[in-house]
Amino acid sequence: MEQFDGKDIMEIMQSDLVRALKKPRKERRWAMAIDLKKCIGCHACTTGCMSENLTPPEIHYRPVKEEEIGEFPNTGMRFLPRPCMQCDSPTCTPVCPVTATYKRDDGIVVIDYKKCIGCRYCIVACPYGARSADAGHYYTGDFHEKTYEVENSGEYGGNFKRKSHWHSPIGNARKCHFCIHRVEKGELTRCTTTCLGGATFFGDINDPQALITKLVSKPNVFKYKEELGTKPMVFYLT
Amino acid sequence: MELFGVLVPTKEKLIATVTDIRKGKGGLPLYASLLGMVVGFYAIAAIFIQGHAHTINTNNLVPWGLQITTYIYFVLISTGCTFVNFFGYIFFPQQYKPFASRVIFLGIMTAAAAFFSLATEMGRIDRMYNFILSPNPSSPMFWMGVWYTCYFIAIVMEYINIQTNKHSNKVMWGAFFIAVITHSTLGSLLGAVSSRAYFYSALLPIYFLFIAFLTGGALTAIVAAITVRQQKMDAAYHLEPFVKFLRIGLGLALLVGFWRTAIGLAGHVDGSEVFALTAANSIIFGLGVALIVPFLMLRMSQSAGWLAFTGLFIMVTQLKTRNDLVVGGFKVPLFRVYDMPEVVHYTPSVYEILVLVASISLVSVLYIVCEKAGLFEIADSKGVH
Amino acid sequence: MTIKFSRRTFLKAAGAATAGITAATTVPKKFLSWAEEEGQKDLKQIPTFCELCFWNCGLIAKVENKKVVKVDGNPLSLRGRGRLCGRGNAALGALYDPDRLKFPLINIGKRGEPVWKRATWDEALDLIAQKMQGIKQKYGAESMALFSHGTGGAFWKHLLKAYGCSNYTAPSFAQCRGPRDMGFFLTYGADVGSPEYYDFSKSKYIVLLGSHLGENAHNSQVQDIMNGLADGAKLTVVDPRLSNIASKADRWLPIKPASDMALLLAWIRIIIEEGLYDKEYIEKYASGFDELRAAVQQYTPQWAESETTIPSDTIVKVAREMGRNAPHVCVGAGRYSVWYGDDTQRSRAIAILNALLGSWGREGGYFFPAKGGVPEYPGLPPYPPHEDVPKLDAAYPFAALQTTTSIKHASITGLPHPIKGWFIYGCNLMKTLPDKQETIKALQNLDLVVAIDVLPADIIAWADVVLPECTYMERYDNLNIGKFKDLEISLRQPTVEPLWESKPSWMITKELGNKLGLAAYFPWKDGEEYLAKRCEAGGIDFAELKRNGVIVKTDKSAPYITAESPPEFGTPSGKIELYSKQLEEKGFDPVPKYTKHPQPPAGHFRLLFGRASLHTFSRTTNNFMLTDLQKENALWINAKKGKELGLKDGEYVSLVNQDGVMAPGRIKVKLTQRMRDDAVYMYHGFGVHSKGMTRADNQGIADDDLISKYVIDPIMGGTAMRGNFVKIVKGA
Ligand SMILES: Nc1nc2c(c(=O)[nH]1)N[C@H]1C(S)=C(S)[C@@H](COP(=O)(O)OP(=O)(O)OC[C@H]3O[C@@H](n4cnc5c(=O)[nH]c(N)nc54)[C@H](O)[C@@H]3O)O[C@H]1N2
Ligand SMILES: Nc1nc2c(c(=O)[nH]1)N[C@H]1C(S)=C(S)[C@@H](COP(=O)(O)OP(=O)(O)OC[C@H]3O[C@@H](n4cnc5c(=O)[nH]c(N)nc54)[C@H](O)[C@@H]3O)O[C@H]1N2
Ligand code: SF4
Ligand code: SF4
Ligand code: SF4
Ligand code: SF4
Ligand code: SF4
Ligand SMILES: [Mo]
Repeated sequence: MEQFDGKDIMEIMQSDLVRALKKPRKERRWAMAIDLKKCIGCHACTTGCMSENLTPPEIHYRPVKEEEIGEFPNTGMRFLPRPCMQCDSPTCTPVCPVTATYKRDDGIVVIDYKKCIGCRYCIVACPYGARSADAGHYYTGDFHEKTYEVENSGEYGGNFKRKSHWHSPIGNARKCHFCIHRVEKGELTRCTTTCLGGATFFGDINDPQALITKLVSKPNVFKYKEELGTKPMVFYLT
Repeated sequence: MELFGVLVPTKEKLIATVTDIRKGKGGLPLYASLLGMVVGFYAIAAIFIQGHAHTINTNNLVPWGLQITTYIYFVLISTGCTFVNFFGYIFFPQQYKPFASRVIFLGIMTAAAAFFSLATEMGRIDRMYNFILSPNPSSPMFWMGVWYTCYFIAIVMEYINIQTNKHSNKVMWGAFFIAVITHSTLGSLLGAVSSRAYFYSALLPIYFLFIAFLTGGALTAIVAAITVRQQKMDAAYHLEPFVKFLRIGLGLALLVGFWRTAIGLAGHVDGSEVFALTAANSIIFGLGVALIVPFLMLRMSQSAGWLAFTGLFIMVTQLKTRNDLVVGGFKVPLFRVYDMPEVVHYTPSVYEILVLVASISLVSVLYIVCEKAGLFEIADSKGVH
Repeated sequence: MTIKFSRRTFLKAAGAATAGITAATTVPKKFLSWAEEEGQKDLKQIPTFCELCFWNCGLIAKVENKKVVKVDGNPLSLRGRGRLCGRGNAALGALYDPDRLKFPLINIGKRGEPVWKRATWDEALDLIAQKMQGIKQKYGAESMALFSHGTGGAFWKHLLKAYGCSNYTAPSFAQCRGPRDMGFFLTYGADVGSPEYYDFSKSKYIVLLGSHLGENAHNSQVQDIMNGLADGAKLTVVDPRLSNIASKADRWLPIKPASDMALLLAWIRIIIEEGLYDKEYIEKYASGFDELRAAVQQYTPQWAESETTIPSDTIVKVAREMGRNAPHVCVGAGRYSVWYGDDTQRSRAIAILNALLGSWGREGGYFFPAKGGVPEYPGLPPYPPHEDVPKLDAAYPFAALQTTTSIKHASITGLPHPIKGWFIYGCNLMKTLPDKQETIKALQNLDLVVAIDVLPADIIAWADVVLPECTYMERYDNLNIGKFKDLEISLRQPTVEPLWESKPSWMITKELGNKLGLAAYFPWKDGEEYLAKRCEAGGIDFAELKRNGVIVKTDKSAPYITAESPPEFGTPSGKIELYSKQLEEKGFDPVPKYTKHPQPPAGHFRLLFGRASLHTFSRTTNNFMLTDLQKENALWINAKKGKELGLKDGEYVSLVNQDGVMAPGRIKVKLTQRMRDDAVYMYHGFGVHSKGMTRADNQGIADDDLISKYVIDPIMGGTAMRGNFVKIVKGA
């Protein structure tokens, strides 16, 4: 990967991001690459995302799966972080009866917290288990009003406070949204910036100059459950 | 069009019935159902007031549970009622006719009960208007909403026709086709989910229709058997169509159930391990106990009492089968991480069970009251003069 | 691929914008929409640093409505570089834990069977002060002791010194890093630091023994090693278990536990005999080469194979690979090093190996850290002179820091002088020290036990007085000084008001100091003034520190040996001591020797333990964000062996050790291909026994419940805990 030899990867991704934001939205195509060679299974991305999006119990937008390969002593390990794949051909959006979840013109599959009726059909339909239902649980039980759990995460740039079950996103489906509230401010996604292994890359694959585009055009790329035809926008590098 | 005496019992009769009930002359089933309704509605209120977190046991691994089971169960019964009505009129006009208004009444009630359950399941029921403001034509659930509305209108029309003795074949055929479309759409709601091998199948819409016919047949058979007894009708003659329907229903369900299991077991795609995991239950219970046993029961006797019992047996076993179908899709987590179980077990909460109780009780209370108030004799009497 | 993370640029990327830390300046204003506009108008960003472990990474708290709503990494921090680990991101789970200690408590029941009375701060501190005065009168000031772990410990140490006592200890020495520090100190006259001075990102070859980085989630170190690997470094990991980092290695050597010394000595021999060592370097900087050479002759690769089960040709290959890549080789020193009792010697073997490869002070090996620090608060009165009492650690000639071991023993035996009162700051001694029965015996012998904690941890039950400290998110604390290639000074400051009646240590110690008549030692108005004065004295812009959380002072001296900057060694000979006269003088082996350690008896497994990437000991086992992901530990067993024993994955079992100690609770079996079949493994920290920790209580099994036997390292008093053997009991 000589083309970015010697340069700070964060800096590259950052300037890629800024360049992308200068284009009209529909000309951008956000994508993520996760280098499995570099993922060390630290789960920082999982908890970083929990903190960024103030997710409630049992909702994790980006869990990391640990898989053993082979038999002792020829054992291998694979850590597989799983954000939402932001499928180009998602199975979650066509089933939503009220178009509360849809693919934006920049490719991000979003959920409209003001529209979702909480039927959970999209959760059933996503093959990656990337969606969750916010039933209104709080980690802090009766103490929740005094904590961050009722404050706004800024998700989707909105003002959503989980004050009761009539306050979205409680009652709604939730999932990873490529941190668009950060991205549109010019910040990389939280899982990218907190990744201890430096395994997570983010950018606009419509930009041939972008690091992400270069990374995903290599032969060592696979997409998770690609055979389902979902056309994931998360690329795994091996 | 008159309301009292057609769609609902006449005022006098209704008042008389209520007075009777107050005096304690309603009979045990009625009081039990009333109690069921009270606790059931308490549970429903609790779900709305306290929210899902405190009342419902579904979670990320099992997004749909008993409430969806209940919903599917009742809508299928409703469809079944329409089917029974249709085939009754077509093939056994004389034997069937005395039950027509009861059957369609039940069709309406079960459809309503289904929505009760569905309403408690939605995270944000208050936003249902989005079905109209923000429809999504690619969603089976959206179409289910559309067809459901049509279906509801159609059976209500059918009911009015029956009650006013203006039975129209056009409406009946219409209701039948709409029922077929609606409930095969419901089948597609699960069948089209390619992410879950346990659901994903072209068989599912057909399966739903057959099951609808079976469970609708079972409920109407119970009602017919009771009616035949109460009214001292010729049991053998009048119950014959119901026995036939049940046999056909069981046969069809067995056929499609067998192939769904067999094909599922042969599958090697992600998630088809559920078929193997649940094979014993699907074969022994789903096919054996729930379908073959009632088939044999029907061979043993066809008396009104036995038929009612067999009908009840089918109703109960099919409820479990419905739940196995819904929950089965979630048995194996799609992405198993951290402390997630390898095989997911889900037990409905008390509230979820009470929603089921509320739905059952609603149907039975309304039916019994209307029955006592003579609603279903109106058509007959009107037909006489 | 070269991956550099310069802080300056990361700062733009990580989106951590405090007033001082500018957000991506290149981003057009119009993109700064959303969050600020709608929901988070008043969002303040306050930098501080993490205490979920002792790496102390810089973090930024995003505060709204007087609540911390989220945290992010501070890009200026050398320890984190804008990243937080799996635990650090769970700050809110620590801050908003409803199980936190809320009020001072006084035990009006028996010790160990507490009946709690809620007390006011005055009552609690009065009681402590009165007891302390009593102890001083009866036994002398040296009869108190402080156990501490964490930044706030400094205030307690200050209090004790002012009171006249010099017994301050930390389990992180005798139960952790001690042997390693001493092993390197005896060899180089310097230790490897914490954060360690590994130059991983520049290494060409890395060898780790144990050191399960990734699970051991020391932030910048994990980043460094992953960067090094991405840059082409080769990695060999020696571990009976395929650790996370072993799964990234070019070679994984699943060594027979307790035999690392054999491998190290064989490597030393090969490197010497094959002439792979850095002759010039050894010539110039080391002493005792010939003695070393003679001493390791017996350790052939074939012999090492019989001890370690690692094929001799692999041993030889790795030695040659190290030699080929020298001096850009880092053989990791380890951190948790109290393994089998000869741990200082094992660490010395590692130190010697590095010396032969010439990696100390060389690029890709061990760098020389920046020098400097921040002066103490100016104008404090001198501490009172210490009483003339026999040295507690006399038995361990190279215990550079006070050991918990001898404090415990002195508490039980009164020898060499009595210890009558314990302050326990941020240590969960019940889980941390080996042999619980012995710890309990010591506790029962005391006149005063004070625990300063944030949670009702296991140790709380043994305290007479419990003082609730506020969490690291709510307080000013001691300055944190990080020695990297540059010097880092970071500040902890409150991001929100303390919850309930909890207080920061600077305040508690000041109040207690006043009650003890030591007001002169606590002249600061408050924590902020204390820090401001120190910064002023050290020429550090306090305002900038408050704004940015971190100030990095670039160090002009070279991190590596150059002609202009030759290395200095703090050993008596001023050289790297391959042969240690110091050890010889005290009757220890001057060159490490191999000792055979006991192996598990039939039907038993050696009990191994380590870190969960999502938890820090028992410190986080009640953190709701983390228990949500991992609430209990599991017993790792070789899959084949487990199946032979009829065990099923996920089944619960109990464990009994060689002394017949049955651990309370039950643990889930994890059948795995990642383990040898002569040992089992579990994460430390679980198996908490404290009802008040509602999420942690009784989840999994505690390794510490099974560590009834330990071996003391005679050189420095470390307690080796990996010599316990367990039997699996089915049907728990
Ligand atoms: N996430 C997280 N990170 C932490 C901590 C935490 O609590 N949580 N704690 C921090 C602290 S204080 C410390 S001291 C460090 C400790 O972390 P390390 O210093 O990395 O601890 P080790 O004991 O070297 O590593 C444990 C590994 O040693 C292996 N092992 C066991 N026996 C043997 C043996 O005989 N030979 C060899 N070669 N390997 C063996 C185990 O299989 C395990 O993989 O972690 C620090 N980092
Ligand atoms: N069996 C066994 N024993 C071990 C180890 C092992 O792996 N197995 N590891 C060893 C190692 S490497 C080390 S370093 C030691 C560490 O052992 P300790 O020094 O005891 O450190 P922790 O376990 O982190 O201490 C946790 C305590 O600090 C409290 N605490 C957390 N934050 C704060 C705070 O801000 N203020 C105050 N006052 N208290 C706080 C927690 O509630 C908890 O009670 O243990 C050693 N002992
Ligand atoms: S991963 Fe799932 S939720 Fe995300 S876009 Fe694809 S189908 Fe939808
Ligand atoms: S849960 Fe919400 S987003 Fe998902 S399908 Fe239903 S309405 Fe659409
Ligand atoms: S992109 Fe954002 S929302 Fe998605 S997993 Fe990463 S941190 Fe979470
Ligand atoms: S933060 Fe990075 S290295 Fe850690 S688990 Fe996530 S992707 Fe892997
Ligand atoms: S390594 Fe993790 S837990 Fe430790 S200080 Fe850094 S962020 Fe906090
Ligand atoms: Mo440690």
